[in-house]
Amino acid sequence: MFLLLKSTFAKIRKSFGRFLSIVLIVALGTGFFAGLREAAPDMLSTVDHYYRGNQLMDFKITSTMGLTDDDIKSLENLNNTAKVVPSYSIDVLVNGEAVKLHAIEKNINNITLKSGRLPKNKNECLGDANHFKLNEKVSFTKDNLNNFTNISSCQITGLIDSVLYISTEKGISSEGNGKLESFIFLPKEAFSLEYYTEAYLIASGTDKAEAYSSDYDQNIATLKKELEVLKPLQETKRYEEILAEATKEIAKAEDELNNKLKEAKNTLTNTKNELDSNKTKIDNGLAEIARSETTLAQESQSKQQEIADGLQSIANKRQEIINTLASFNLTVDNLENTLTNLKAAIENCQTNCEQLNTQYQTLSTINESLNTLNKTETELNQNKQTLQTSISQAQKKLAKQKQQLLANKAELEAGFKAYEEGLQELENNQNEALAKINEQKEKLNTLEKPVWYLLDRTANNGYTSFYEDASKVEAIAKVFPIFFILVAGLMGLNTMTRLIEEERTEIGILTSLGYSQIKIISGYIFYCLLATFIGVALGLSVGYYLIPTVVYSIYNANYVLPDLFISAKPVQFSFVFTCAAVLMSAVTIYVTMRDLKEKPAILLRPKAPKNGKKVLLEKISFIWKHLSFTWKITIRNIFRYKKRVFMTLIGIAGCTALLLTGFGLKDGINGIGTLQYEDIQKYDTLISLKDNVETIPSNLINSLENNHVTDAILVNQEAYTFTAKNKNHDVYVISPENAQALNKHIKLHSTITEKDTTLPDYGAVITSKMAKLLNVSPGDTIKIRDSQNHLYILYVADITENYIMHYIYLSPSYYKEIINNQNTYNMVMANVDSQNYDQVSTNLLKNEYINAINYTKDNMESYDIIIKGMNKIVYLIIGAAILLALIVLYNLVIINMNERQREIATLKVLGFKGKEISSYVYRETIILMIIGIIIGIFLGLILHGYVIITAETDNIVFLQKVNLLSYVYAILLTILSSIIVQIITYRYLLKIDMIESLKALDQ
Amino acid sequence: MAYITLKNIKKEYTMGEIKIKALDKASFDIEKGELAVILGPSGAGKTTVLNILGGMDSCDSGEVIVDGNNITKYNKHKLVLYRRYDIGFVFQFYNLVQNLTALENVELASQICKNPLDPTTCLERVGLAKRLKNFPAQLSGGEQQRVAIARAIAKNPKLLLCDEPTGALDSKTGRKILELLQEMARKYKMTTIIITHNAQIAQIADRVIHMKNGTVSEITINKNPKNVSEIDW
Repeated sequence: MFLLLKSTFAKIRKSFGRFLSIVLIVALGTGFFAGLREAAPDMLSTVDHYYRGNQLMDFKITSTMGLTDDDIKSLENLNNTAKVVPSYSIDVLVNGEAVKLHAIEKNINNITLKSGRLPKNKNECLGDANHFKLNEKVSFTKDNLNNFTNISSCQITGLIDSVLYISTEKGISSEGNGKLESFIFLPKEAFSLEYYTEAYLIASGTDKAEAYSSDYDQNIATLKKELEVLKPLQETKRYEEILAEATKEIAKAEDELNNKLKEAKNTLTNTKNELDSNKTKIDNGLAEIARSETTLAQESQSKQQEIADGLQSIANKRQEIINTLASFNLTVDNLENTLTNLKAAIENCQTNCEQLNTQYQTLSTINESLNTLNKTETELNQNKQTLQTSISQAQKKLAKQKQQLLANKAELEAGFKAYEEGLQELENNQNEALAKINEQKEKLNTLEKPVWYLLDRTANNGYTSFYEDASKVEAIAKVFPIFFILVAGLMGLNTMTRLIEEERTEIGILTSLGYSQIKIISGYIFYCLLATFIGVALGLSVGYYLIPTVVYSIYNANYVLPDLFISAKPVQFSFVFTCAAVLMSAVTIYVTMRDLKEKPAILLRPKAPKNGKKVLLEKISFIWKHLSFTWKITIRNIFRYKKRVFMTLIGIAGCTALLLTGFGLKDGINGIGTLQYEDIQKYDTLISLKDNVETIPSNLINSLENNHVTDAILVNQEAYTFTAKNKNHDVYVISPENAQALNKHIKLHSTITEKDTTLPDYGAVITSKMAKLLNVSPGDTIKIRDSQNHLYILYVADITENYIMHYIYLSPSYYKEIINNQNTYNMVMANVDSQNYDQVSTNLLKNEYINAINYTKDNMESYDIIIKGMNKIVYLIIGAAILLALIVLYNLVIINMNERQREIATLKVLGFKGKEISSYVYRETIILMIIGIIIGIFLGLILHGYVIITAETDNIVFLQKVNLLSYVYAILLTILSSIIVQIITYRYLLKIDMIESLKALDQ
Repeated sequence: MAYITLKNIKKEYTMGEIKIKALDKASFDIEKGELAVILGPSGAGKTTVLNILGGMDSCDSGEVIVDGNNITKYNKHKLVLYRRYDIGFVFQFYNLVQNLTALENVELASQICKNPLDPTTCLERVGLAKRLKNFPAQLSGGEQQRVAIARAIAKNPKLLLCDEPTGALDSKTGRKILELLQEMARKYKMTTIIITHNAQIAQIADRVIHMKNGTVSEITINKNPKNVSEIDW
């Protein structure tokens, strides 16, 4: 046994090239096979490590009205939540670009600090490592910013990657031009919101489930079910809370108002009462004064009358006296004298004395009464005087009193006026307050129910697209490696067969020396296993490392991800090695056994060279005759070594087929961007509106026209889902305001009639891939569901050409009939006659109707980025195909030369020049190459047809057509590989030693 | 001056660490139209002489002059042309191209020569007029060797070199081959050199060059070479 091992190593040393070629073939086959197969799993396992290591949330819950502690508690109480973290995020503008501010959280959506340090206070923050610079000061702007944060700028103390943003496409934003450019993480205390903007959830069990796995999906689905139950409850609860709170507040406001009114009214009433009583008092006073005046007047009048009467009677009495006097011929004035005279006469007289006495008596009485009269008159006059004075005094007093009262009255009047004013004001205030209350009531009536959004990881741009990318790699990995391993396997077997055939003399010697069959076979098996093991080890270590790394680096251009995590794969390694070893050993045993059946004596003699034979073509003598001598030899040789010819054909055809598939795949992907975004979606922009409208507002029209936006039509675009093969797919339902107008922006090209068509009044036009997934044709019906899970059944009128995503086009009337009985529109589809899209965006976003602006050009660019990645994979395949061709062809040419060494040496001895010998040898290779290429093209078309369908993702249609140039490239590269092999092997050809080759029959 | 002259030819081979002197100052002449036999035991250096003379190998020192040309001075390309136009080889194991018929094997050689003989005529000369379209595998060993001779002479070479031409053949067939070679020399004045270890064969030669340990030990000239039918085998 030891000797056999020794002889095996001697064999390896002797023809190291052959050993190496087996090693390389095994390495290439297994390496490419395993490497490409493991690329997708490695990519997915890397992101899975990243997700789980950084505790990427499974769900993000947001609400249109924010989340409360109660909401958080309700989430925590769910059976299947492992973790609930309430948090904040808001969109702001930084230098005119939309940036999302997040709160720094621990133990969820962890950030990876690339440089710098964590913030120490709320004025410090962490910035996107791919966007900000360390120590940069960042200012934010946003309407009512201080409602959201208590800072307006921050200093970047650390640069980070976030597991939330693995894609360079960060999604959409409510700020700026609608495209989210970057992110910043702030300490939680920097936020001043009264409610949480979102809650991050980790579902129980997902810490043990690999991302994207069905296990993961199940965990998510379980929680999602619970969440879907909770969602309406909490929405309603929150709605009712808000409603109750608002109602309460309104009631309170009303109460307050009423109280205030009451109070004000009371005060006013009191004032009024006082005023009224004052008024009464004043009025009474005035009345009394009036009465006093009257009394006074009456009294003074009566008194004056009395006095006047007295005076009258006095006057009367005086008249009487005068009259009496007059009878005496006397007057009042001479009475006194008369009396004196009389008195004197009386005294002197005794005659007539009596008379005189009597006269005197009478006169004296008259005089006395006159005197009394005068006295009374004087008295009366005095009384009159007094009366006058006292009346005047009383009058004065009354007047004064009246004046006072009148002054009071004026005051009172002012009081009344103030009171009136107060009353008016009160009324005004009341109306105002009521109006306010009513307004709030009105608001309350139109209060919209809060809506929860349950966003699982698929809502994250990068999460889904990375999976899509990995799936594409996987789809391609399904087909290509099989071809590789097939060709490499055949080659390995062929080489091994050849090796043992050449060893027949040794087998003969060993047999004749009495070695057992098992010992002899085990020697070869050892050789073969050694080569296989080294090959597998080499192939897998290079393949497992190189191919996933290359593939990953290609995709990494679109992602922000950690380095590829390449796991050790002992199981896969053992499996591949076992398969390769079993296969190789089986051939070794088969071929060796075949030799061992023969007698040693026969084995010791050289195996007779393969006999020459006439080929069929020679019977067609008119062709054969015209062939040159070397051509005849070539043709005969081709038919002589059938196995080698077969192998060569497989190698070359395989190479051509792989190349054609690779280039065809490139054609298939590269073409569709232009087709979709230029030929089919002809519009330049899709402008989303803040509210649904029925007609285009004139303000908007002006704004659009002023910014070079033309051909604007209103469309309604909503996302729906449909289910095909147990998988949900998103589909956009587009309904224009006018079916004819849609043609200007979207090309509907029926795949049924192969003609351009217009939206029919009745029925939906659906896109081709959707029709294919659902396996429907015009006349069938399809089911779609909206986000609330409402089911709509649509009649399929036509199927239209489309390459990216799914769309359903509905005429306004059909939309009205099936989906919504009111035609409203949320988008404007238009062209832009300007190169400066940024300027257009900036200007348009100022318009109150416009929410966001999306450009078709941007869609195409993001598609192109994906395409670039795909192209690199195609290059990898092309490279590998060439490598395969080189190794296979090299091997075959070397085997060919070995087999024909004697023949070549003979030619050399005969004096053939180098060129003549090589053309003799290579001519058949060239013919085989031509035949191989032709076969390869047919094979390639079949392979390409399969690959393009396999590699196609659910929402993309690849082009089936292979460009002419791709055929040219595939052919040229095959020829190039063949030429390279010929150049390499030509040196080998020159080295063939005439003397050694011709000396003996073996060795 | 002789038609072919070898002067003090030296040739050493290195086999691992051992140097083997294959030829050590070997010298001899052969005249035009002669049938020469180089005779010696195995390892005497006769094949080496043939290789050098046939332009397949070079010597370390000495001169080989063929028809006035010093071929030791030839470069690789000139050696190819020398083999192509001046030399015809016959090997012990025939070295026919298996995939070519007898006629085609001859044509293979004749088509690259300046003044080739007609392949069919050549095959007729070696007595294979009826087997032109047979493949080597359909021919006996002697017949194959005759094809090889026909192929060699079709080139109309200056020199016909035969390395143990009868080594793989039974005596009856070998005799026929030797007769053919003798005929070539006698009838067509073809300078022919046969290498053999069989001393019997030497009797038919005009000149016998005995070799031993890489040197020429003796050169004998037969005034009256025997016919093939006369020799014992």
